[in-house]
Amino acid sequence: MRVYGKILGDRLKRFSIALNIVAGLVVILFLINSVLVSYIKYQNGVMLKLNDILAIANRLESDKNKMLEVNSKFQKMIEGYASKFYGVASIYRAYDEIAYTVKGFSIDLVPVKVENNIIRLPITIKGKVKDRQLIAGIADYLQGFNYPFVNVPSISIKMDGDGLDVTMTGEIISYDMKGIL
Amino acid sequence: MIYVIQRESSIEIFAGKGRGKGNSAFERYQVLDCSELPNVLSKIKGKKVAVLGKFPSFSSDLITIPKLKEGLAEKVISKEAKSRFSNIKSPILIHKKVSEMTREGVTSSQIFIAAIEAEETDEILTAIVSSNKECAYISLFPLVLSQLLKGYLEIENCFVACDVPNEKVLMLFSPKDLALIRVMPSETEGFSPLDYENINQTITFCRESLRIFPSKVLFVTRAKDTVDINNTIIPTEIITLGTESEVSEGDFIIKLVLEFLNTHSIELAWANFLPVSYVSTTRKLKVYTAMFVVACLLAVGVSFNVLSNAIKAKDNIYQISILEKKVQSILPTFEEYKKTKEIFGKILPLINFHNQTVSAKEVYPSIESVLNFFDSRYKIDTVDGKREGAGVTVRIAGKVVSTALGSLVADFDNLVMELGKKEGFKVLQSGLDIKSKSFNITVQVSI
Repeated sequence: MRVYGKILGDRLKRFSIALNIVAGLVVILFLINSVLVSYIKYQNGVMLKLNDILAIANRLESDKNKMLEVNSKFQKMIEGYASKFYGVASIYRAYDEIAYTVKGFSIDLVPVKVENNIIRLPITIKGKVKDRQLIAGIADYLQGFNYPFVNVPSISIKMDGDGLDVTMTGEIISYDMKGIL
Repeated sequence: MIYVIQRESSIEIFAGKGRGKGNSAFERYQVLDCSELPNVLSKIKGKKVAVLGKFPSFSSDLITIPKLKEGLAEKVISKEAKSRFSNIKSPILIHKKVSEMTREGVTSSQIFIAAIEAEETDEILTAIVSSNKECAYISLFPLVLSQLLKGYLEIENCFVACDVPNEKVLMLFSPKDLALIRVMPSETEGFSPLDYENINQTITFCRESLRIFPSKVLFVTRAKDTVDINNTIIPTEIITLGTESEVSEGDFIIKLVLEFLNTHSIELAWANFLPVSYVSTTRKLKVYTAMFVVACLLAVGVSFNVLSNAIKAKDNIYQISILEKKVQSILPTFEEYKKTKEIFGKILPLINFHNQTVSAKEVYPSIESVLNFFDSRYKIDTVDGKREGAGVTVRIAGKVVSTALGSLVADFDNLVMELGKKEGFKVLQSGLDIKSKSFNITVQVSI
């Protein structure tokens, strides 16, 4: 072995070792980097999910406010009466008021029906009138109830020589707000 | 480039003062032997070293081979050289084609070959490697000198006798390229009778053995007075390489050779005796160095990337913590929404029912709007109004008062047509009994 060959060989060996060390370092750095990249991807996913949750929460907040607004308007509409007479009591209160106002008419009723928080009292108003204007007046009066309100889906008129036989079929409707709230 | 010239009893080192080829200014150092060389070399700037060494085993010859393909010619030359220089154990060979000739249809080449013992390069290469320099060229001073002198030749087949310090170099050029070289030790400057004897013997050898007949002897020397034209067997001439003042400097010829080497390194590549093992190892070392540098750069690049990613990850952790806090703070919203929706879910059917019922068409106004079409020609018995779907269906039954049947039917048809024309009215059914004069009409009112 020549002397310069040995010196160069040693130098080559040193470079080889250094190269291996640096290459190893590069590999380790690459691994660390890939772990970091994966971690960042995971973090981005988490941030995306959290942002989604916040967006959903904001949407739900907005939806909730809309529902509360509608709810509030509805309750405000029925508030005047409903606060005093809840449920069935309010129905009979309205019945009394109609019976008192529409004098000379018979008002038949059947038992109150409660279904899906809606309280219905079916009524049939029968009577004889001289002219049609009075029928219009009674119909207007019944439709004028805000709450509980009166629904008249059927009117039957029979014309005799001495007047008009009128039959109005409908129902007084109230809501069971206590059961809901 | 740093030039190292081995002399009889010392080693001279010439380092270019300036950069680039053609720079003629050299800084000169001198050491006694190779052991002192690393100290001096390590102090000189520059990486590459060219050596003009003194190799006692140096032998040269002129061989003739048939014209062959390059690879095959190499093998033949190598084989021929080994047989000619059998006294050299481990030779480093060089060769150069001198001429090509065709005789009787066969083309053959004359090749100048030379060799030195590889072991003789060890000491100088070790010194260079130890000083962290790279040896780019190893040759002999006379060999490079011969290539320099080649440029001064004006005629073919010249014999040149050159007087350099401590040596006389005898060269034969055929036709204008080096065909033979002999180095004779000589202590005195100028040509002595012994030198003339050597010159004449060599010319005779050229004539008899090589069959080359030099036409002239060219002398290169500072001591021109020692040149005697009557002492040679062929005509003589003296070549002057520089001006009188330049030539008078002792190392003028050396500087001339170094300048030539500096500027003509490519065409002198054939005379490089650098061992193959040294060349391959240094090449490998260069590759390793390049790879090391690339790996280091890569490591720096990836480190930077790792660092920036780590900073980003840390920043993300902070961002996530802020988002988590926000999410924590809005968690009650979900519960509130659930409760509100639950209540709203119960109220919504009521609201829908309410809206539907309140907005439904009133029955009595619909009855009135239909009754307005009937005048005194009709006596109405019964009227029924019933809400059906989005509209109100009105059924009217009665009798026609008129006694004239013709106008009765026409009037009734006219009435039905008028009712049908009214916007929002649709006559669903109509009937008239002529005999009893009773009628019935069903109208759907949708507006």
